[in-house]
Amino acid sequence: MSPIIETIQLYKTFKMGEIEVEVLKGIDLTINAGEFVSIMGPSGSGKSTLLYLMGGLDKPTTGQVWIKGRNIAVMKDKEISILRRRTLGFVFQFYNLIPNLNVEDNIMLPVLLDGKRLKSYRRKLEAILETVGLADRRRHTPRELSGGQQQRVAIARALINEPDIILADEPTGNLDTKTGTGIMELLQKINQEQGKTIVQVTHSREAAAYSQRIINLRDGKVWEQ
Amino acid sequence: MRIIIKFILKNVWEKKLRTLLILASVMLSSALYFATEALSDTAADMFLERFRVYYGTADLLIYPTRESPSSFFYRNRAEQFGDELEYIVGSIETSATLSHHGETLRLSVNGFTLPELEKLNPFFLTGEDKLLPFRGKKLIISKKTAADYGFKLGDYLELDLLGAKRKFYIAALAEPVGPFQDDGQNINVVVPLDTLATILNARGRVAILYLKLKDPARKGELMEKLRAAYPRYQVAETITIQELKEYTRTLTTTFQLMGTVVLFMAVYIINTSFKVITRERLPMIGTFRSIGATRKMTSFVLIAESITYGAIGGLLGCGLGFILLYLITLQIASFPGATITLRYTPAQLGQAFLLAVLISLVSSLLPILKIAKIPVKEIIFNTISKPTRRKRWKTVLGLILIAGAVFLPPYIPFPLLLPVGMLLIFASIIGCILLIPGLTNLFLTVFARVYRYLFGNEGILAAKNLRGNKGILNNISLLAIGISSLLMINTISFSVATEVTNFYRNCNFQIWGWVWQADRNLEAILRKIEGVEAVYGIYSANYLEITNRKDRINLIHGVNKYKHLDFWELDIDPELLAELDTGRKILLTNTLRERLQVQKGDLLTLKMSRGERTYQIIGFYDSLMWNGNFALIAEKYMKMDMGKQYYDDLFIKTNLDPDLVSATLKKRLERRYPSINTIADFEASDRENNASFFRVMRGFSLLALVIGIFGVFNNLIISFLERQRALAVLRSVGMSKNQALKMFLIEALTGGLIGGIVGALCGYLLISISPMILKAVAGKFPIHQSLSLYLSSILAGILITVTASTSPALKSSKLDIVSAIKYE
Ligand SMILES: Nc1ncnc2c1ncn2[C@@H]1O[C@H](COP(=O)(O)OP(=O)(O)OP(=O)(O)O)[C@@H](O)[C@H]1O
Ligand SMILES: [Mg+2]
Repeated sequence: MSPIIETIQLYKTFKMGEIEVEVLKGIDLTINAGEFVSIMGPSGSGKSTLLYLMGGLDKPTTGQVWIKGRNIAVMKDKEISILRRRTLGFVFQFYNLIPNLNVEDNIMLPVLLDGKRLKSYRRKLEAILETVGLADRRRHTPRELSGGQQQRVAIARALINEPDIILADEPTGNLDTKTGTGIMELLQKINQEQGKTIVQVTHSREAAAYSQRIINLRDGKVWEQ
Repeated sequence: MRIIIKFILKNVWEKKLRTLLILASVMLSSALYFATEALSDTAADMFLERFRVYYGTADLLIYPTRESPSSFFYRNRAEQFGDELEYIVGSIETSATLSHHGETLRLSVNGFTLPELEKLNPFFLTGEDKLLPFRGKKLIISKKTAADYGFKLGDYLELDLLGAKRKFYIAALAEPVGPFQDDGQNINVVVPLDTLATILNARGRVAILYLKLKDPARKGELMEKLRAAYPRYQVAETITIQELKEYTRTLTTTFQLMGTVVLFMAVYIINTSFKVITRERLPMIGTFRSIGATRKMTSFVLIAESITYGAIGGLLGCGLGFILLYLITLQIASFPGATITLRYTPAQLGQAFLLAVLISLVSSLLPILKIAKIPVKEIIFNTISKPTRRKRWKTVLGLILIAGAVFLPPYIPFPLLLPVGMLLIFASIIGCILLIPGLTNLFLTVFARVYRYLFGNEGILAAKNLRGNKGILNNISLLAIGISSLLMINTISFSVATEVTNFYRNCNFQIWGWVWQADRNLEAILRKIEGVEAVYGIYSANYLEITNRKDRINLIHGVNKYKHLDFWELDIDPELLAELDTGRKILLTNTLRERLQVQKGDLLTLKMSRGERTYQIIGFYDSLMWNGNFALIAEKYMKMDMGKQYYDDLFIKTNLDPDLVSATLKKRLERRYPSINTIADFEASDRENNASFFRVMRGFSLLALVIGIFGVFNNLIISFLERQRALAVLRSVGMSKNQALKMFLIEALTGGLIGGIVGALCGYLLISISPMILKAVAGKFPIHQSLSLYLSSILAGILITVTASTSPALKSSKLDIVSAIKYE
């Protein structure tokens, strides 16, 4: 198994005026290709912060993040943007869809940003809409969808460019148990059938049960079970 | 209540930019209102001051006309009314030239006695040398002129005066005020009255009498008596404030139009700002209402806020108004030596202030009342029903309003044209605003197609973002209102200016003059002068009353059928013109036909010098000269019915340089008080007049653009704040900073482009409607469209939005993705 994400001595400190909060205190992690990993820990332990660092949405205070053998800390904005749209897919707790775009447009955003022709992705889009079960809602705007449906749109968006890695921050945190189960089954299917690496942050034991490995975060440090 | 106010104050402080924008809009509107209102008085005052050079403080003038037996007369007949008069001042005025370092200076030489001049038009001497007795060849000159040309007290000036060279002694220098004010054309000098009288062989007589009444209310009565005393001389009023107001009306009307535009924009800006304010305060209002504040209370606090904006803006506006008034006056005071005294009444200040409060209140009332209606429950649970997306009725209503404005005017009876027309213009502006969302979507659909090829996928994304984006829509509306109104105003004034210059295109001659006692003999003399090819003397009558129509004709020419069409470019069948000679017949312009509502064969009774005379209309012609308000009758009937002996105008054709010929003519006719100008001179002076007018217009347009930029900037900031999260999402799925920048730029470009195009379209509409309505005031009104004006409007639209969007665009690249995404 080859490592796809590696963090080396990752430190993150937030400055709030005079006060400095050290959130991550030297995280060393290796996540292999095709793994489904859950990050757990108490509220405020730095789970989201870690996930965002892995996705290059934020920069570490010190330490390195390697993705597919490349150090993202030294990448330029353009390179890291390309990485985000081709190699990574994000799913957030609050779905984060663009409200004035419909389902199809929201899903196609990474393709659009990659400068590709939308037409050549039509078949792909059909397949993904089928997978997430939203084929009959393609023209709706996020406002007209339920929370679970919105989250499935977000997952579809994360899948459209066939990234190797999906990073999900509490994907079921805002959903009822039944809907949450649906989302987790979807993620599991993606992991198993398409071999995508999935890293999710979660508070729920049930959700974590879908993953193969759980990383515990406490006081900014990793406690692996 | 206190706590609500505290919250609001905090909120106002946090949103400084928006507060500033609201204040600026209110301030500008009230400043413009004040400046416009006060301008009319100030300008009239200024021109009055200017005319003081000529009339001093006199109320009445008596002077010879072309029909007078002599150009000099005795003052004794006026003196019999001495007890009703404060003064009687007699004068002889002529002109002279002076060679000075190879330059020929033109002087107005005014003969007075010093005590009389002092009464008529007070002056202040700064130095004198053997001034008294004021007799012989002495002159007084302004200190300023002396300094300009290097003349000194005690110098001799060799004037070319009344046909001979004469040396005058500079016996005094005066402050450049009153009779020595610089009028920008001539140098005014004063010489002893007797000296001129002697040269002109008119001792004891004068050429002009200035009278001031003890009781101005008796002016009309006294004028009648004076007319009886001097039957063949002109007894006239000096210029009145009323006339001056008339004179400055074009100017003030334009400013009123401009003010209306700014008002519209201000209302729009305040309205959108308050929509945002109320939306922002919604949670707070909900909270207060849930803990017991009544609907009235929360609305009251918001209304108080809007009134406060109005009051502060109004106070600032009055201050700015003074500055504006001063600047405008400075611009129109294009003649040197003009003294600027701002003239205004406290009422005008009060009105400006009240207007400010009113604008603020009215534009904010709707959003405030709207949120007062929302039930508390909905606010707290955030379940406010979103407005339905498409409002088709808006488009339909907009189309109906515009259709009304386009198709109705021909059916409006003439007397109602002005009021109804104004309403229609307003209706079409509102119609345009209602159409903007529909038009915007239409353009976006088109642009989205093109953008794919032009800007790649970011172009598609930008077009998608723009669709249904409130901020962009607001910007486009704001731009469209501003641009269309400015286009209308500028095009109309451009047309006026063009029309004025076009006037001279109809002249098939190069020199236009008036000479005292010009008749056939003089014509013959002129024809012999070198360079004179042909001469046409014409009799004319002004402002003749039509007794059977209760109207007037501004100008009637008594034409010579052989010459008229040769000298004037008029589209009239020569046979029709010749028919004028067959009786009391008259030809009217089509403009007059519409105005008087007459047809061929109708009779017009004119009140002429020799009594009422009836003329039959034999036809019509198209012409826009003199605003289309002029008519033609035959020379012989004009002579007969108006008792004319001498020509009122001389038109001269030349095949040499008109300037040279005009100079020769002036010299040869010196003793006949010639007033001779080349057509090129007239054109140049008109152009000069227009230029200063246009400077003011441009300043105004710029001002409106600045408010536009502010408004657009405000909208962009608001929409940026709203879109921050969406932008963070885009970044998280792989949008690079450059892509974000590009997207913003395309959005701004598109917004500006659409705003510009829609503005140009609406402007075109307004411009097409206005002539039908202007017809009511100005006769037939040709519109001269200027393509470059349209193009520059569209460009201005783009420039405004692109400039205003640099700030949000730069902010976007500094965006902290994580915190923007995490926040809910
Ligand atoms: N931008 C920031 N500025 C200052 N402190 C921050 C910032 N972002 C996060 N923190 C702090 O870092 C710590 C970790 O935050 P993080 O969001 O990673 O927690 P988490 O483990 O995801 O918690 P939760 O389970 O509640 O989502 C918190 O104490 C938080 O206050
Ligand atoms: Mg978290």
